Amino acid sequence: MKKMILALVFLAGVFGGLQAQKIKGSDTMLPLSQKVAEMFMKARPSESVTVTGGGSGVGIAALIEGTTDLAQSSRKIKFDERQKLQQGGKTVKEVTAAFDALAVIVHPSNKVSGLTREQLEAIFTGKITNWKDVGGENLKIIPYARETSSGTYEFFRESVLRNRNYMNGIMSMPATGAIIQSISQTRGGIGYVGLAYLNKDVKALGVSYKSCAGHVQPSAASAKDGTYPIVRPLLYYYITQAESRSKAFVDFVLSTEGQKIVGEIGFIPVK
Amino acid sequence: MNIIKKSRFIAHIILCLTAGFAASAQESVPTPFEKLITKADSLDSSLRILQRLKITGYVQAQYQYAQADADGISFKQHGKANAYEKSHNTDYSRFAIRRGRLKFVYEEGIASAVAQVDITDKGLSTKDIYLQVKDPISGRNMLKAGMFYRPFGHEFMLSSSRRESPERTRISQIMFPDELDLGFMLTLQPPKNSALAALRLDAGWFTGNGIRPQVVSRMDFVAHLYGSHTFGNSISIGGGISAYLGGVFQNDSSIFMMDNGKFMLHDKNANRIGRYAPRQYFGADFQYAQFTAAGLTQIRLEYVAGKHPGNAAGAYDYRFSALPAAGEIYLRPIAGGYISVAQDLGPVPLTAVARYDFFDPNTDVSSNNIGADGSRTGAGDVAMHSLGCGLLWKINQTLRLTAYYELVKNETTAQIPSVASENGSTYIAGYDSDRRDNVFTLRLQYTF
Repeated sequence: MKKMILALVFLAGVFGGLQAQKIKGSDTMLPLSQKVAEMFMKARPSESVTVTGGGSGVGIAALIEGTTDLAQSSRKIKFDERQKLQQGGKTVKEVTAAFDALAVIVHPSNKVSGLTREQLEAIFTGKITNWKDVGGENLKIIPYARETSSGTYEFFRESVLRNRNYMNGIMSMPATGAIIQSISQTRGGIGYVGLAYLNKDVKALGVSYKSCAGHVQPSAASAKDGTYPIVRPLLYYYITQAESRSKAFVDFVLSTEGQKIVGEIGFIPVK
Repeated sequence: MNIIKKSRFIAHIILCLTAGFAASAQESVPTPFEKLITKADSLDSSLRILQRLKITGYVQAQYQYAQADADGISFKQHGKANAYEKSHNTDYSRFAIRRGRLKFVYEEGIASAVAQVDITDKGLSTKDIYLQVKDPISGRNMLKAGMFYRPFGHEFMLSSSRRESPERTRISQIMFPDELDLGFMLTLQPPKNSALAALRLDAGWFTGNGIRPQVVSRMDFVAHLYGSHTFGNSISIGGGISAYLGGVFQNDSSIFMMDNGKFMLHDKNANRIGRYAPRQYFGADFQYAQFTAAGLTQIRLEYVAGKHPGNAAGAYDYRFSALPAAGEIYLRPIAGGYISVAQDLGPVPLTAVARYDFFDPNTDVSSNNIGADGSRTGAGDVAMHSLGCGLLWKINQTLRLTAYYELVKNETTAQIPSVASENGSTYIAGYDSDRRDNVFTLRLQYTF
């Protein structure tokens, strides 16, 4: 009898584990999903949520393969990804959970305080290679980018580089933390991270998309009022046909409580 | 001196023993955690090796119902009706494993090897076998050698598991009955940051003999220049042009070419044995796909024209296991193409499919001139038009059910001589009206 009870408890545990809702994808969204998941499980003790990163591309690939319930993504789903889902008779639902400003960061000792979009494009495509060409000291520029599976990589390329390719041999970092760490240790370094990741080890530059306008510093306020130009939506994707698996969590993110967490983390609420 | 040597020897022995003892004394027993780490490392390296090998495939089981005159193009699996069905002119049906594909890909670094077999109720046959080497700098250019799809057009290279209609169009099957060919190919793509990055050139030399071994020295040149672009995540447009410049070995002194609606002996004084009859095709293809509220809409167009060698009766297949037997060659100006539309039906996992395709095996003769006395034309010169429509049910990521009906219309001719006449017209009975050759296919596909 005792063995039977133990077996049932074990099976319940396994079954419970299998029922855990899985969220995977964007590293930028990791702090948001983790915090929301924590609060969600507190509010609903019977629910279990696991959150992992890996990049937006990894999350969407997992959604296509059916190994995650929700993909968190800092870029829009691509045509070929939609097509892969379509081939399996699936459609996806896109939900904007928050907005994020992408901050361009440099070493704290760097005297440059702002750059235009054109200058950023020239730096990341390898046309400008020295800080003195943009008003800084005579120092080689070392640009850092995220890996190609990252939604941040894609968004920066689309918005700042106007879909031009990054320079050959650019330093490719596996995570946002790695970019912060590298730039904090490299005097000529430049990179980009989500606003929520900014800390005192790096300096955020003001950015201008119009040459006549002044540089605007990244902040939740400047992103919300539209003056800071590098702003992107943070998205959740789930399979429409399996909506019941994810809807409660997504609704929680969009609730007043969820949007409060969005603001606390440093993102811009959608409501 | 001896004493010194002995002392040194003993000292060495003592040193070795001491060192050995010390070493074994330093060997500590690994903790369970260390053992776990070692085991995880070992499993990780094994997993990395296994990850280099990918196995994929698909199985298609199908039921087909065909009208009495259905040919092996639409009713692919078992060809025409059996003798009894033929003599009684009855409709017939077949159940078959149309395809049972198993594909192995091993990839390490810049090189990969691919092998694919087809296992069906007819037995085991070899499909793709090739190696591929990418350039180590950009990874965008590559060399491929072995047996694989010729780089011509779009439909030829579209996997059967992804195509909406059960079989390729008539012109595809006539031009390239095996789909695959033996040869080598270069793929060239401009650098990613180039303005021409969306272009791709596939060009190679192939035996032209399908999956059979090469029996003549000459190889055919095949090339496809292709470009595509996506607009946002909703629209994709692609298109390309293709060329096939090849030849078929002639083991006969005669070649007939079309002249004023008739086949005429060309260059009658020349002995053409050992020369090559031209086999040349040129094509253009276009693809459009768009996601809307109703789902994905896909449109594909393709047109091909060229010269295709055949015999008087219109047998087009020029794959040889040995040097071909002597026989007159008839060079036909051919043309064909298709338009295919697939439309998702809103939130339900259904896709409606329609395809029109045509194949004219001899563009220089039509209608009542086919089979005319002295023209040496016949059934092999009759144009065919097919209109297919169907429904795809994507049951899940791996299962797909297709129901497809193909309505085949042939060109008709009033010329109905019962036997080949002395002055050269050939047997064409049965083409004075539309033949009964429509086919219904119900196919279940599992992809893994």
